[in-house]
Amino acid sequence: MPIEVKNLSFTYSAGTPFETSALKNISLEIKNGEFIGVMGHTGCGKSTLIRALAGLLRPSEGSIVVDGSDINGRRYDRSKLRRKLGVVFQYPECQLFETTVEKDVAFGLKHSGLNKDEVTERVRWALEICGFDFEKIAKASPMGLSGGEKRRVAIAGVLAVKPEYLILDEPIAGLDPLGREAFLELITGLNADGMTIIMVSHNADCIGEYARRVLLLNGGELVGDGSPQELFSDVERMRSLHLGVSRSREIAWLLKKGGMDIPQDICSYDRLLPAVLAHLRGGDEHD
Amino acid sequence: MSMTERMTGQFIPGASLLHSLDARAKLFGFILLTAAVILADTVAGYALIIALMLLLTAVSKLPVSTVVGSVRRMFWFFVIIFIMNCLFYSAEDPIWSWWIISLSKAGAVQGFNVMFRILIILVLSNIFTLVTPPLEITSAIQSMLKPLKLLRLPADDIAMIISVAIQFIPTLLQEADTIKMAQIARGARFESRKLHERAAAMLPLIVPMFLSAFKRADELATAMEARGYRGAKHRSGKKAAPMPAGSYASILFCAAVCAAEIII
Repeated sequence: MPIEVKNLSFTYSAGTPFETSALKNISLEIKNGEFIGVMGHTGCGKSTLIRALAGLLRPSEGSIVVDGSDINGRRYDRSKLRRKLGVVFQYPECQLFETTVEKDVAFGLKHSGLNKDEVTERVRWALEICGFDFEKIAKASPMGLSGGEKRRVAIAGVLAVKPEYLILDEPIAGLDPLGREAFLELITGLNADGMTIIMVSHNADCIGEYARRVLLLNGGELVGDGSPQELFSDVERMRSLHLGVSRSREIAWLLKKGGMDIPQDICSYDRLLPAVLAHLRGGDEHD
Repeated sequence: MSMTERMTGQFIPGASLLHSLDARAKLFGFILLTAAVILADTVAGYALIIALMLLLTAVSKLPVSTVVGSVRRMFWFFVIIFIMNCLFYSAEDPIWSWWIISLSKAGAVQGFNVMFRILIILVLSNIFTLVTPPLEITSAIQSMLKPLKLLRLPADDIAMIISVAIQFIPTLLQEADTIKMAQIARGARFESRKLHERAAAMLPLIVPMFLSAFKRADELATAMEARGYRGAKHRSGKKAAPMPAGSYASILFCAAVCAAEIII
């Protein structure tokens, strides 16, 4: 069952001199198993949108329906949503607080109704897919880990509840290139297993390579909803929204401008490189 | 309440007379008026204070709901203060008494006095912070602390500590908000009704907040040292402008109110 967002608006500090409208009349539908990238300039409403989707903010207007029930409905049980939808906030390593890694990862399972062995099994699973050796890390204090390890522990804590929907806010900010790749591989793997991914990122490369659908926000309004190929094709428009396109797309665009015949729906390197090679080879044949 | 909403008493920019006064004058006036409130103990005195509150609210051009915002939230606090004073005031002629509890007219009056004073001081401080930017408050405190230097107290350092603390409030609040949301999303139950559960539920919020506050303090200290901070004593500052005549007049006005309360 999908997430349906209808005419969603959100206003901060309504009725005071500081009234600001963060979201304006947003409607969209998220199907199961999608990999969605959310892009937008600073202050465009991305964070507000994900908080509203996660049921952490009550929208001023409009509704959010998850799996057929309105999450802001009077009788809706929010704890159901918490088990269904996981959120990895920006710099999630800040949320660690327990004395051991195992306890911290198990925190979200407290009210899940699983017995002790099942909880341990879940924690083991979550830590292992996040690249840890369970036996080695379980009893360690989360505070003594490195920044990158802390982040992976925090993410394991969110994954431990096996959410159907996973929202990520700038998950790769501050990670080194290797950590970034490993993380995106993990997310892609989860997506392949059926988890719906909604990822906010400034990084057009990562959106271009991994997301199948992109939402563009500007000034609280949804100004684009489509595949990265569609949205990145208009480089100038993306720039007018203060957004970049993936570097591979930009290279394709510049090559075209320079007179090379390269398809303009490329936004990942694994399509750009063969296209450039084909072009160069084609050029050879003409000679 | 979401912490992204504005807190009560947070500065609201404006162009009223109160906004334009010098922060030092406002701080001094605030202290004088607080003294006046404490000195008030007759009906006429109270009437003067209430009239003054109405006047200040009108002059500040702030909506009344904003000015009394925090009072409404503390309703039960006032009720409890009143009841405690009523019951535990040891008067000579109690109407009714049992064990250490005694009910008397004097107790009720005392309860009302305490409640009234706290309430007015709360509103007064609310007005003060609503019309004065936090940084101006700090520099006003700084100039108020100057005489302490004569006693060899590190007034500059104290002022620096206060100003750093004040500047970190919005950052820490925002962070608390993010961490709270993250923990709720993980299934933390801050809204639990059972008291012991609620206390335990605060741990996921408090531990990360402390850790991050220490980390920030450490980073700030390093950054300050890296930029050559060697104690506030040798720092040059923005040369404080002399107070305009209007601000002196406002101090005089507050002093007059204070004097009137002594006389009444």
